[in-house]
Amino acid sequence: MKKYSLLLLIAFILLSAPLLLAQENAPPVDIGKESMYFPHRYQKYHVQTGLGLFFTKLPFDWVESALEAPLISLHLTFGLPAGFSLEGNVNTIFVSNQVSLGVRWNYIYRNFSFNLGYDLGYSLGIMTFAGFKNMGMMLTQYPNLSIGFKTKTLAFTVKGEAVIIAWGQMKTGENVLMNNPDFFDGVTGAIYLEQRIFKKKILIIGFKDNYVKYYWPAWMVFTTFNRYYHIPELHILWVL
Amino acid sequence: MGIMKNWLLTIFCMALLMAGCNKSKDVPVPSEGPNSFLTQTYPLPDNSRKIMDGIYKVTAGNELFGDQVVLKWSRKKLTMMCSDGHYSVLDVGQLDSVIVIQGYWRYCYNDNTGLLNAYIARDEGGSEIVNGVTTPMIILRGAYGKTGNELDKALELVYQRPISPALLSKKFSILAHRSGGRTSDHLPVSENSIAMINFTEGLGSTGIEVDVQLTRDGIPVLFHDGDINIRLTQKGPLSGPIHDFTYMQLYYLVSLIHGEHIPRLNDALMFVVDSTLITDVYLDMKENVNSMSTVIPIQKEMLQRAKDKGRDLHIYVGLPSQDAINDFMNQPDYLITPSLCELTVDDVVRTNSMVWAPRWTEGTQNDLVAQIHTQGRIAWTWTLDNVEWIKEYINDGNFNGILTNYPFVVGYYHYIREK
Repeated sequence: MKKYSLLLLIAFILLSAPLLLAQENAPPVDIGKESMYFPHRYQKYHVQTGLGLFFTKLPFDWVESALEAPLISLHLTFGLPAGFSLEGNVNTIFVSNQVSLGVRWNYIYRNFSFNLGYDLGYSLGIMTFAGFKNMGMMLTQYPNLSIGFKTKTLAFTVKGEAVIIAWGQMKTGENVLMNNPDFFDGVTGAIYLEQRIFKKKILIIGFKDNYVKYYWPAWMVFTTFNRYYHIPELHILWVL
Repeated sequence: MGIMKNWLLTIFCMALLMAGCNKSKDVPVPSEGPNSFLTQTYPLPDNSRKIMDGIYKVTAGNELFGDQVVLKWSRKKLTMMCSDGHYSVLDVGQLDSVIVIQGYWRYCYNDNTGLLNAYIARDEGGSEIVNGVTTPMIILRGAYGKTGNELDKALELVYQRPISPALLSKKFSILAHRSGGRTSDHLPVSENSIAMINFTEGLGSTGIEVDVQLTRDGIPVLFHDGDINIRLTQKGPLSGPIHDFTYMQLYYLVSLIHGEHIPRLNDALMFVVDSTLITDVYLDMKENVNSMSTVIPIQKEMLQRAKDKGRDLHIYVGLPSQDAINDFMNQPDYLITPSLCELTVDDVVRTNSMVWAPRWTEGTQNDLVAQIHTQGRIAWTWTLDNVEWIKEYINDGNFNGILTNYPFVVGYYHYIREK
């Protein structure tokens, strides 16, 4: 699994190179306007897309071996009037998938900015294990707050969110393990660094710590534990 | 550019730091310490202990322990079993006809734990218990705490009835996974260790499942994972598959997560025979091929040792796959070797296994269990940890035993039955 993660990371960087070189002669970007996580007032009806990977390491208690699973991550923002914006995310590792949609209200003060947001995520996982079709679905609410600071070429964002499970179901074969759960799942804290690497290309590197009981990429192992775990994520995305 | 490099470096360092901290944490066992009042008491005679076994109404302390609990003695501990996964492991002594009870409570699904102390007054059952006289009037009064070594919440248990004699007359096995519980359950001893075998009866188990694999020099040892890793062992010089190392290398260079040695099967079974009241051992054979010829002689030797000591002990060789069945059926006396088959009922018949052990997700399968019973065999299911499913399988199923990481939950729902 480690080799697989490393290969994916190398492939991601190599495939990115031609994209970056093509931008050599493009005019410079304003990091405060072109970034994705840094809170700012987006151009009305402007769509911004980020694509990348995120890596996570699940607790030994759950997977009983070191597992570093890379997920493909697509991030979209859509500018709205009056400082509002829409935000969408699609994350997948094929056996675990999540789509989320949220709204933000952004405010800027000099080099500082912040936003308040609310996301709703739907995760779905299907996997055949030990001869049984296992399935997990979960609807999760993510009220969140981001605070950003920017320099000429760098945007730095700290984001916190609460994770609230609103609905879900988990099945193994015909046995329903969990039905319609409704609980406070935990909190997350993240830092994102957005940097113009070439003239018009922005690289996002983020580190997120999930302090949760249920973690959607690992839906299959959520059965008999009711305790919080720190689950780290490393995000690497290009703003396309 | 310099700023950027610093930020990048910081983020990566934090990511690496968090990724490196992926280790189970220890949950300390609350204790009164060496100056405990219990040290001034006398042990309770064996004939007194059974009098305390029973179903108790919780008249104070319901918020944590529910409305009803089961108290059940094992070899040396009194276990309090609750309906939702709370349990207590208790030491008991007596002084001047007062029963003194000290220990801790724990919730199995997370790390919540605290002290629990109680006593039974002389005129509230203490005198009768000490004298070995059955009494319907037993009241435990005491306190428990939710943090540190506090004892700030009242506890009162009132005896309701004994565990049904009809129920106790039929054998039901409460089998503890990995000799007592997983590393991920944050117990004070390591899974698949002799220390865990010593510990597990206090959790309410009457049997154990252990994972068996061979070392490079062909010694069967207890270890679950295929390789040595920091989930199960302390950091050390060895890494890689167990079968790449000799037993002496493992003994001297590997310590389990709580410091114990990886035990040889022989030593573990000898401990079971000589030092416990465990009645069933399920040898879960891991991926080694051709291991039966090594393990079966040890099984036979230990069954004979148990018989010589008058112990009612059953040791079953696990057959989890067709490869294991083939290896088993290549042994000259496989038909009289006690075994447990995890596959189909036909495979059970073919191997003449005494136990059929299907995965719990296949359902209660009462028709097949009945078929197994008519053949004079028994059926266990594994590995059942969810409270609701344990309750359902005990109430609606006909299994003769359940393998679990939480023996006290299985114990609660088993012992409250009428028959």
